[in-house]
Amino acid sequence: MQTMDCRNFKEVLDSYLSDELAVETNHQIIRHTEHCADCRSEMAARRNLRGILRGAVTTITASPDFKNRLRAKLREEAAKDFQSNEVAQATRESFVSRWWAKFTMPQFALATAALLILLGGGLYLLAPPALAAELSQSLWQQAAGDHDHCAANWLKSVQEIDAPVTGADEYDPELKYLSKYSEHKALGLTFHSAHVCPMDGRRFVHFVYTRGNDLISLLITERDTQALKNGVIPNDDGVKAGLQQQIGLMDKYSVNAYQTSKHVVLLVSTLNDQQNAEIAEKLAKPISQHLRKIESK
Amino acid sequence: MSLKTEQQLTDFEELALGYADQLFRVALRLLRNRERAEDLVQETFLQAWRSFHRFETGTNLRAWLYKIMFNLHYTDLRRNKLELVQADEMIAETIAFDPPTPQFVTEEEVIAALERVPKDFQIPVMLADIEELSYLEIAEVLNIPKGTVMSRLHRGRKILRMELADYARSYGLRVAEN
Repeated sequence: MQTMDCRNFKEVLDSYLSDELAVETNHQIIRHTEHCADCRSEMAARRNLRGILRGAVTTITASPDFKNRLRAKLREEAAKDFQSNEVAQATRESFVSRWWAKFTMPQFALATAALLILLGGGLYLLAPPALAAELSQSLWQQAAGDHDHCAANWLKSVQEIDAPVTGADEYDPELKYLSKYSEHKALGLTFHSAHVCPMDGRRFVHFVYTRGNDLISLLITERDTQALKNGVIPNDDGVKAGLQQQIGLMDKYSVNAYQTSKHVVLLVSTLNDQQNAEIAEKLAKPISQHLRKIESK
Repeated sequence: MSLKTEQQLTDFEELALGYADQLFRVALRLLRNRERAEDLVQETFLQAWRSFHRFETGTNLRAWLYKIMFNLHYTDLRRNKLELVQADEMIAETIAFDPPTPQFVTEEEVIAALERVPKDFQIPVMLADIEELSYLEIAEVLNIPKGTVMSRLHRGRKILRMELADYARSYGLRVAEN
């Protein structure tokens, strides 16, 4: 085993104090201090410095007044949640069953498979994306936020990712059939979860996929109802309004989005822009066709 | 699953609010202004509450809260078009020399020295040596690779020691002149 000299010792000493070294390196450190008084005193000094630093900084605390305000604010926010729970309970059945009953019908799966064969023939080459100005910055943020908080945390917490998790069973037990959609396999996607996520007051239907080490979220949400109410019915751009935009919140994600007249579909992933766009495009046609069917009713 | 219960609120208050002081300290270091630090901490807790149903019990709540806080902070920075200083290259040349750590330092000296460590290095040092997050947790919280955390810690700690050594030396000089 390599012996440790004073220079190496000082290089790794702080990691030793943070308990971040491998066992063998810990042993080397200890052996070195046994015969080197200088390094022994350096270790004591650094340990002492940390203690003083911690002591000095931890005297800083938030004021009791702030903590009270924080608690009050939190309760205020929670009260709103509890109130909207009642509304959600009441509307859940109608909202979700209408939405998903269509999405999970076997005929739809077949139609999708048939479409995919057509897509494979290269019929679906896209015009360069045009900007869909209607998508707000906050929606991008929320989509990336949902991907980051939900999908990324979800994946971390699940050891075995072979079995699809259908956390949305309580919304619709049929959701698990989504995992059988053939286009996912064609794109090399492994389906993991389908559920409904709230994010900053917005409701996303959230599909989680992986491809290799990449994590992919497909998010569907309703378009801004305020705009619709004001009579601003946006064009049904479909995927032609697909656009790529880096999000300030998390530079590491690629995001593509497109919209139908009442819904926005976003694809967020750790893939590069080109791969992300490719998946968004390939999934776009069956999804937007399906959404249009719902919307026309 | 997304519906919040009274029990969740009680859990959240019990588990998360205890970290208010720690988050506040780091926020204060980031923003150097009590009021803005309080705003950031409050927004962090509200955001955490909204996502609380997705928090996995048994994982590190404190690191999760820090991650939310740093995400919010960096979003604000970009919104305000303030550029983060890329300090790595700038500092690299100046720290070849590693002085011995002074044996006797006061809290004031240490705080003053910490203030002089550039923020990119100061924050990892704070998270590791004061808040005692692991290197991996810091990487997740700051959204940077673990290797970058290690090199920033290495430099940050070195700069801190240099600042203290400078202080001790000048103090020694003053004593000698007298």
